Amino acid sequence: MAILAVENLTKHFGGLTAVFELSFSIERGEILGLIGPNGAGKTTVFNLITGVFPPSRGQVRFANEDITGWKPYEINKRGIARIFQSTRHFPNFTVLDNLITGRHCRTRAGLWSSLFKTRLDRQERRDNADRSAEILEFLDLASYRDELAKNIPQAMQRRLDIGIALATEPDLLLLDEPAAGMNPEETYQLMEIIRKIRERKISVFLIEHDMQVIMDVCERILVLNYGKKIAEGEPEAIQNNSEVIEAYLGSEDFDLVRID
Amino acid sequence: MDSSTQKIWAWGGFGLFLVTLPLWLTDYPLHLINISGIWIILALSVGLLQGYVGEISMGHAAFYGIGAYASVLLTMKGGLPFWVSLPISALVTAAFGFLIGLVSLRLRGPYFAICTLGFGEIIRLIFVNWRDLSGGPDGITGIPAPTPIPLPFGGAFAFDTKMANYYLIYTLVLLTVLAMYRLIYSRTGKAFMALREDHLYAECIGINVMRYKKLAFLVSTFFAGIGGCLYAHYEHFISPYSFTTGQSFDLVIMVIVGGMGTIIGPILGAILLTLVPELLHAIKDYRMVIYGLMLMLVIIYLPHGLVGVWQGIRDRFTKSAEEAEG
Amino acid sequence: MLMQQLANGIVLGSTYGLMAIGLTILFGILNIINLAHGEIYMLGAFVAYFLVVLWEVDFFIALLAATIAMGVLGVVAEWLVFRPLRDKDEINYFIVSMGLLTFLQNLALLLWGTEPRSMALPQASETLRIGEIIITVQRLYTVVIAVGVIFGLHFFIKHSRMGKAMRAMEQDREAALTVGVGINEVSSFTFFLGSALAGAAGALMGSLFIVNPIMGFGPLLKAFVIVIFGGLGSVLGAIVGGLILGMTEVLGASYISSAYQDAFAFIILILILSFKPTGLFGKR
Repeated sequence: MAILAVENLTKHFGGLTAVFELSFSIERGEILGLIGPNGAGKTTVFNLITGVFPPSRGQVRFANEDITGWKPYEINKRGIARIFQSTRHFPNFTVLDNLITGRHCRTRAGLWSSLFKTRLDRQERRDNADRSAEILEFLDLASYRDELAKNIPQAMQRRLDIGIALATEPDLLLLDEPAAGMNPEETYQLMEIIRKIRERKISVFLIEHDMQVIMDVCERILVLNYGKKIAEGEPEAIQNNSEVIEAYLGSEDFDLVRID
Repeated sequence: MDSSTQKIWAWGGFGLFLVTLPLWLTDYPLHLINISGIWIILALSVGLLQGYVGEISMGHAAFYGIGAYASVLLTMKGGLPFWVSLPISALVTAAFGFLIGLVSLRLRGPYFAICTLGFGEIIRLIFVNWRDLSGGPDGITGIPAPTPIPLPFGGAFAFDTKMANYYLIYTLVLLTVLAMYRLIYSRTGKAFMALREDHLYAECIGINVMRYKKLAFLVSTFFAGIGGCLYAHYEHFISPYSFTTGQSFDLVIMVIVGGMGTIIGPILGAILLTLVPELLHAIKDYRMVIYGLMLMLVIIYLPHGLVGVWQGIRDRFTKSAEEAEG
Repeated sequence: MLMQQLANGIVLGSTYGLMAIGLTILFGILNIINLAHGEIYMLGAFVAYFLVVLWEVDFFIALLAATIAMGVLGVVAEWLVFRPLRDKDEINYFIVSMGLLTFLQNLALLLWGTEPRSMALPQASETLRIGEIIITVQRLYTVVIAVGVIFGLHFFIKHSRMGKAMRAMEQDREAALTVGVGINEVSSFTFFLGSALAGAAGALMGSLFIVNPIMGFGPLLKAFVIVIFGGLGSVLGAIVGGLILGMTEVLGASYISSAYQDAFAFIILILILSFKPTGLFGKR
C-alpha cells in the first residue's frame, strides 16, 4: 500500500519550471532514494510534498488523503516530517528543548492548561520527557541533552534535526542530504540510524549525493534531471542506466562510487 | 546553609520587604512605586509580544487606552463595581486586540510595527473626536477609586489611600508575572519562541504559527487592558494625551532597555524609566531625549539590555571563581 | 475649481514625493527603514527658518544650506547609529531609528518649544494667475524646484559612478560587494542623498506652511503610505504615489471632516499593507 502517491506534480517559478509532471509513489515501510544533479529539483519536490509552497499542477496523496495545498503544520500533523538541506533547528534552545518543541503537534495543552498547571499539562510534560529521552538514546545524543544546539558538533546537530523530526511522530520521514559534511565514520552511523528508523515502521524518502549511502540503504531509487523523472528502479539498475550516467557526467557532482 | 535554603530565605525576605514597603514609605515615593507597578504590567504585555514572539508593537498605548475608557464607561455610566469592570474591560481590550491582530498579524517585522502604529493613531483620533464615548480632548475626570470591599467583620476595605492601591496594584503585578512565567515555560511558550526563532521551521514541525501569533496578541492586549483599567481608577483622570504613540514608544524602550526576551527585563525597564526621571529632578525635562539616546545606545552596545549586563557580570564572576579554583 | 485643487495637489505631491524618494532609496539600497526620516525633514525646515528669519538669508540659499546640512546629518547618523548594526538582523535598524526619532524630536521640542513659526516669505503671498489657476509664487517655485531635483537625481543615478554603484547594490547586494563596490561609501552617500531630499522637502514645506518640532510625524507616515503604495525601493513609485497622495489629500479635504483627515492616511496605509504589501511597482 502506498503511503505517498504523487501524480503529475509540476511547479513553475515565473518562467522557470522546477518540477515537471512528476509521478511516483512510496510504499509503506520503504526507503526510497531521490538523486539527480544539482538543481534537478529534488528539494523542490520535498517542499511541494511538505506544503512549503503549493504545486502549479498535480496532486499529492498521503495515506490515501489528498494533501495538495495543505499548510506545512497540517501536513506535519498528518504524519510527514522532514529535515532541511542545511542544518536547521533552534540553535538557541537546548537539545532537549528542541525535541520537546518537536512534540508540539502530538500534545494538546493549551493556554488554560499552561496557566493553571492542570493534570493534562503535567501528564504531557512527563510524556515529553520520556519520549525525548527515548529519542536521545536512539540517536546517541543523550550526553548533549542540556547543551545549546548551536554549541554541539555539526554531525550531532544533523542528528538533532532528525531527532526533532522523529519527535513529531511521522509515518513518512523526508531526509534532505543528511550525510552532507559527514566523515566516513559519521556517515556509517547515519546509515545505521536510517535503517533503525525503518525498523520503527517509518517510511523514508532520502535525497543524497553520497552514492554509498543511497546504494546501500535504499530499496528503490528515483532519478531526477531538470525537474523530470529520468529513471526509477532498484540500485543495480540505476547504476547501469545510461541516461542516469549521462546526466551526472554532464554535471559537476559526479559522485558515483563503485560498490564492490 | 545550602543554596536552596539560602534561596528560600532570600525570597522570604524579599516578600516581606514587598509586603511592608508601604508602611515605611511616604506618600510621594509610594505613588511612584504604584505608577511603576502599572507600567510593569504594561511593559510585560509588550514584552510578551516583543521578546517572546518577536514582533514590535508601536501602538500598544491604544490598547491600554481602550481598557481605561472601557472601565470608565462601565463604572461611571454603567454603574458597575470596579471588580466587575476590571475583567470585562480586559476582555474588551482583548477583543479589539483580536480584530486588529487579524489584520496586522499577516505582516511581519517593520510592516507589522507600522501597521500597529497606524491603528494606534486611528484609535487615538477616535478618543479625541468621539466626545460621547471619551469626553474628547479634555478627557474624563472624577474617575472613582476601586469599589470598597466589604469585610466579614463589618466595615469595608477602601481604596482611597496610596497604601491600599499599592496592595491592589502589586497583587495584580504578581499575578501578571506568575501568568507570564506559566505561559513562557509551557507548551504555548515554546510555540511562541519557536515561531520567533524560525517561522517556517516551526510550521514544518507542526506549529500553527498564525494561531499562536493571534494568541500572543490576545494575551498581550488582555494584560494591556488590565493596566489601562488600573491606570484610570488610580489617577482618577484620563485623556487622549495619556495614550499616544509617545507612550507606545516608551513601552518599547522599557522592554529593550530592560532586556528583551526575559520576564525580568520589562520589569527592570519599567521601574528604571519610571523612577529615575522622577528621582533626578534636574534631568526631568530631558527625559524623552535621554530615552531616545538610551534606546540607540542599548541596541548598538548592549542588545540584551540591563539583564544582559547582569548576566555578563555574573558570568565574569563565575569565570574568575572557576579560574581561582582551577 | 477642480483645476485649482489639482494644482494645489501637485504642489503638495511634489514635496511628498521628495520625501518619499529619500525614504525609498534607503530601503531599496540599504534595506533600512528609517523612522527618523520625518525628523530630518523637520530639522531641514528649522535650518531654513533660522537662516531666513534670523540671518535674513535669501530663501534659495537657505534651501540649499538646509539640504546640504541635512545630508551631512544623514551621513553622521549613518556612521554613528546605523553602521554598527550592519551585521545584525534588519529589525535593529528599525528599532534604532525609533530611538533616533525620539531623540531628535524631543531635542527640538526642548530647544524650540511647541509654538509654530512662519518664515513669512514675501513670495508666499505674491500670487500669479496661470489660466484658471491662482497660485502663489512660492508654490510655483516649490514645484519647479522639486521637479528639478528629481530630474537631477535621475541624471545622477543614471550616469555617475556612485549612481551606478548604488544601483548595483540595490539589485544584488552580494554581487555588488564581490565586484568591489564600497559598502561604506554607498551607505554614506545614500544617507546623504536621502536625508538631503528630506531636508529639502522640509524647507520647502516650511516655507509654504509652518515650522514646528512636531511637523515631521505626519509627513513621515504619509511618506510610508506613498512608499508602500508605490513599492518599496521604487523611485518611480515614490513620485507617482506622492502626486496621487497630494491630489487625494486636497480633493478629500473637502469631503472628509478635518478631524479624521489624518486617520485617512493611516487607513490607506493599513489597507495597502493588508492587501498588497509589495505596492504598485514594488520589488519585495
